[in-house]
Amino acid sequence: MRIIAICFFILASINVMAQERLKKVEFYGAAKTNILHQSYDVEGDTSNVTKANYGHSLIDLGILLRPSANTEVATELRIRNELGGFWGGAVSYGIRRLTLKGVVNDAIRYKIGDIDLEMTPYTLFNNGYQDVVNEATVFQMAREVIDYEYYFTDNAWRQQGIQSDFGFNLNNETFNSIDVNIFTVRNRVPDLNAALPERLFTGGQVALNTAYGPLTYHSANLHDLKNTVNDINLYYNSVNSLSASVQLPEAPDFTLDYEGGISKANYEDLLTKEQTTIKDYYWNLGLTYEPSDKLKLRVNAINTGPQFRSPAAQTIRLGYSSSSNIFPTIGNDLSIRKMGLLDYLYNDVMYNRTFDDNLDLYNPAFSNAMPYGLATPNRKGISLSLNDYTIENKFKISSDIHFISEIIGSGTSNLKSFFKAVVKANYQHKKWSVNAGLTHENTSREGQSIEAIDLSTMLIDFGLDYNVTDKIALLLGSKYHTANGNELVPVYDNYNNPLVFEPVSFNDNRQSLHSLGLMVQFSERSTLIASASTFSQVDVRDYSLNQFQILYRLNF
Amino acid sequence: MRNIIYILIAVVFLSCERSNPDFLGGSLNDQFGELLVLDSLKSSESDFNFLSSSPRFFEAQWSKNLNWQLDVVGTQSGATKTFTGFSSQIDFDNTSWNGSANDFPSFLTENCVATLFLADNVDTITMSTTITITDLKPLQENLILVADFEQGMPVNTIEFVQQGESMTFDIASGQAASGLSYYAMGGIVNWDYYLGSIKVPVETEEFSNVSPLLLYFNMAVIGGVAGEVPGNQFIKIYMREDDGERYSYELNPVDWDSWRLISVPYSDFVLESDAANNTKDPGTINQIEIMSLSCPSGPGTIVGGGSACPENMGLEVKTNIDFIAFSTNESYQP
Repeated sequence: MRIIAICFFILASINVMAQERLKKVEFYGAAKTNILHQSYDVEGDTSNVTKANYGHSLIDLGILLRPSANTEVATELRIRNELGGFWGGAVSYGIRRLTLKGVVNDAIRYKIGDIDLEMTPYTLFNNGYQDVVNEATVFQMAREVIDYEYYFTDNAWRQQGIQSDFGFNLNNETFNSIDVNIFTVRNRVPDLNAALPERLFTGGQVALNTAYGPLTYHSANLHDLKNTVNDINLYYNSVNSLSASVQLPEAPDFTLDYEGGISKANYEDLLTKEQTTIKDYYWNLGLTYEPSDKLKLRVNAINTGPQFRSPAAQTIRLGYSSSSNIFPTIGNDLSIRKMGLLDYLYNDVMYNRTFDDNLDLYNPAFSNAMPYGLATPNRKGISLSLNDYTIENKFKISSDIHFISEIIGSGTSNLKSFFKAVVKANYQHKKWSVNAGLTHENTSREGQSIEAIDLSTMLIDFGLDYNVTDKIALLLGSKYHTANGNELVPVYDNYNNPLVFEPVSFNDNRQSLHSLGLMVQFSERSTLIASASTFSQVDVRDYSLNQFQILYRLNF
Repeated sequence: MRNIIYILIAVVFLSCERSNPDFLGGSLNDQFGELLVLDSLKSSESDFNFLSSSPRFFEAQWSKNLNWQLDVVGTQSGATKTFTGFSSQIDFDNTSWNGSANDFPSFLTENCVATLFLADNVDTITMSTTITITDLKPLQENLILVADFEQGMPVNTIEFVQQGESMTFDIASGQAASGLSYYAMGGIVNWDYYLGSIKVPVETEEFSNVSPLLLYFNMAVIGGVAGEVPGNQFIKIYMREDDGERYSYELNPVDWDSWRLISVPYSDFVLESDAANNTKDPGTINQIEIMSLSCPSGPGTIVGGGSACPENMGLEVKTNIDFIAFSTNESYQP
């Protein structure tokens, strides 16, 4: 209470000062209370606790300082109190964000501190969630909490370092201008005990904007900094690529775009003085047909080499095979509980923030065709997509179909084939809005019994919102996931080459999550959601979870 | 400009090459395939004459790559030759045999049993075949055999044996490291480290231009079973040169109970006498002395000082030797 009072006092004082010099100081912030009650149900289980209550309240106070016309300092201070942390016992304080940005000579923009970085899906890209197609509002609200906590903004990675961008006007009809964007960030702190050196991520883009479209060079380099520890190994990975987008003059509704590049991973063993270098390339060629704002069709061909290495684009956002501390074990034999859709949305599963030089473990039940997005190594194929086709401003549909195969077989000369179809639809009518999505993946490989693969997975999202009044809405959300068949998942060595293959099988595994929520919007900036959810998993060990959540959010 | 972009794209397409292995990673057949024997174990010929130039090897083929082991064991000598590898077959390339053994004892002209062990996570398969060694392998080039005790002691060998119990300093037969005879050194001397020795004259003029780094002293040595012999028994070797310099090497302890090749470059020997030219001259070595030593159990005064080792009370020293030879450039292959 005392802390809240002090904060309020500081806030009020600064606010008075700010009113005097309004443009110099601005405040913003967010407050949130998230309370969850979960109960767990397994028949005959007497060895595990069956109920869990947890949650937190937090205030993020953002302060925007403008000491000069060209300089801005943004910081976010956080006070967080865990549910049950009485008398300040579980209060934590911290700085959530600190960024200095400005403009030098009205020409060169710079940012120092916490920055969000994104380039292309092959160079620097935070691939989206694999358990989402077109999520219901009630789930989106929970997802936003995760995104906010882990700094996931679209496909950008939150990093800490320095970034600068500037441009040149070329005063030429063909070559209009050049835009330059460069950055260097600290991706890993040194670990003296494990002899892991400091790791930097450096790169940038140089775009030549022409009358026909942009031609852009991209560079992404993850590299260890020598002598920050007693070095044993040093790692360096670079991806250099070129992208272009050209509108065809003979057919202005068509746009041709291309990205191609080369990766080079270098592993230096300072003890044996041996170097291992792995190189490969990728290309992506697309043709887009966009006759109007309402229709956009695209055909795309990809070829990503088996040795293509791009940690900043191949790191998986959410560890779908990770575990949670909420009901970590199941059954009287205390075996590890397999996580599911509810855990990915509400519980403390693993999220990556730094880039892994080793390809992350992935769960083929959620994404097997392209677990690392477009940067997934050893893939070739074509895809067809329809983007946001709108009918009478009420119905909107998007669709992607991918026909992919391996370039080189894994453990056998026979190739795996992947089929992936994604459909998303939204419908809005008066007080009703419906959103639905479906992802279906099929993986197959012919051959002897030891190499044959047949895996089918499906993820369905469904949401129904009914606005009772302007400020009250009933929310219904469902997620349904199935997996059936088998796969041989590669276990990679230190150089990301498959070493052995781990057999995994899914015997008509199913999991479903259903939520019913009530959303009350007290104002544009203040929302309360109360939801009741039920989750069930049919797997080697069946179980179900029930959940009640109260989520209050306030932006100011 | 557009053409430039098209050309650029074409160049990138055409300039990239990718190595194409059959597949990535370990073979699924190796990891999960059934282990089946496709061709049983057989030898290239039934009689192995290691004096002839024709190749001698073993053959077999099975269904998957795995770690295999082929052991050839002499039925009389107990000598063993082991071949190992990771493949789905054995042939001339990986089991070609020149008649050598892993270590002493060496093979005799005898029958041998070759056994191939194949194992994956599920199955274990063992196959055997028999061959006969009709002629032993020739000795290595540039090898000087000092003593193998097959025809008695080398000429002008000097033996010295201390007073003690059960003193055995003599040629013995059976279960030798090479051939049928070896030299036994042992007994119990409870008042002195020194049990006895043999001094064997040698002529090494042909090694005059050989570097001490490349001249190897080879000898087969066997101790005894732990608990039955002193744990700290050892052998000391002296090399005497024409100029009076004496170089020594100590093999301490001798605590193994099967024949073992000891191969030491002359450069590892240390000067133990007054220096003459203080240079190891391999071509001037004229005598080798092999001494059997052990900490005496006492009681009483120990010759040369030091304290006794009561734990050796009643334990009979056993430091038997065989096949003393010099080789150049490499160790002797038993």
